[in-house]
Amino acid sequence: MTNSGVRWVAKLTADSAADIEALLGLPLGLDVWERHDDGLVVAASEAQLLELERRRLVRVDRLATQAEFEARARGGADSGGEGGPA
Amino acid sequence: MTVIARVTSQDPQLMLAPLLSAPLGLDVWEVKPDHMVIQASEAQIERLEQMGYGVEQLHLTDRYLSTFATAEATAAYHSAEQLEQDLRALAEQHSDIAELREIGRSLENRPIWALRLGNRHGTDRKVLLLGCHHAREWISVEVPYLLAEHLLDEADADPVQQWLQRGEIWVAPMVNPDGHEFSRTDNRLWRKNRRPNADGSFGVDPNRNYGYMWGILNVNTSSHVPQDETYVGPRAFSEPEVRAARNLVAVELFSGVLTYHSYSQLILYPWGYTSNPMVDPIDRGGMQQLAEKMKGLIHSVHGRTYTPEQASTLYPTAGDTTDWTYGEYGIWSLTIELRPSSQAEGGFILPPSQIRPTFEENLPAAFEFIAQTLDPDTVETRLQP
Repeated sequence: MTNSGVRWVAKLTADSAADIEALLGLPLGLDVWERHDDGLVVAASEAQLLELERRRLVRVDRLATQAEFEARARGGADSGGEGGPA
Repeated sequence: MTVIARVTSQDPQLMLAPLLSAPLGLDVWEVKPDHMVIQASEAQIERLEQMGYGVEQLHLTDRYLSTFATAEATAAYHSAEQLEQDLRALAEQHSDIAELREIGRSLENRPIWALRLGNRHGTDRKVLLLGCHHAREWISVEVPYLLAEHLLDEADADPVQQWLQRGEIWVAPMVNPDGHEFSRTDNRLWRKNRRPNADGSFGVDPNRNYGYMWGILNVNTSSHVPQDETYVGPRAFSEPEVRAARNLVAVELFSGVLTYHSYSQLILYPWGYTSNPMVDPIDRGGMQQLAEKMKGLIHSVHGRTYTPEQASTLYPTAGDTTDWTYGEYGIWSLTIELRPSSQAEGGFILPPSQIRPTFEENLPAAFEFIAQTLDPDTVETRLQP
């Protein structure tokens, strides 16, 4: 059974920049974290992602649940080091 | 689900001590003369209340533990309270050139502070550095705070000495203290302020609540749905945190505004509400050139690339800070999206070890922004077509 209340960090990929532009123009309530030419990284509920998939607006790649993302980011808190590009 | 709660008794006949030996299965964490702190289930809490004890829920246990587990990381960043203490200390240590001003109060009545740096009043050369419109962007507090500290440390040497003799630099590192505190205690990824909305949800996005082209979009990144992360609010300037920034700008009439956010490593110039470029060629060219110069300066420190682009290229935003400061007053205004570059590096949860290098690489870029927007020679130069 799907838990529609789970929040995900997900990558949304489209065929063109215009598709991403169009997606951003929709009132879907996505929490947009990153924008790239061919996609977005968002935080969204499972229900929101299912709706995107149902409407075939974008391809959805669930990277991690938000809780997993937080735990992972915290786990890496001491490994950043200084400076240079990652 | 269990909670951490404080148990008290107002009834002299109802002692706390017997609870320690009563067969209630309580997990007692702390015993004081006037209260106990326990971890208990909802059923246990209900039973204590039936017995006549006062029970105040302090934390959900899971959240408390996750917060506790990251206490070291959290401690490296300022809380609202710690920021106030440190800003007070800076102002007191440099009382000849620094003054701490409360520019407003948040919804939950926390003071919003701005540090004014400068030798004299009445100048029309002023720059404003802002931080933390968005709660979860903790690094956006640290960079302007460290800039203020550095400016004061360097106040006796040029170019800072000249800047502070001729003009003023204002630094308000935490525009949204309520949201920031909530992100420390309850939800690390909280973005908005803590406005209770009519539909039962919480929060207005402070960086969608400014009054230039407010509300003209209804999209993911500028939403009219209260529960959304980018909820624009019921009307422009509905939020006291945003009114505090508005009133400061309206009174001081800055010549430059730099507002820090995270993440993505970007340097954004107006507009956010439209993909059309700024009409004025001097402003458009000047801000683009300045952003390019800042990109080079940032890159020269630790090799990180911050990409300059029009704000709407990132995504459409109506009602953000820089659209308002530029659209309403013609102030040269940039948004800096700080480290990291992607969620793979932590996104909003930037490791504390990255605070110092993020500040270091942004220092020469901030100096360039201050020089170009504050220095009269540069200002005159930039106005040449």
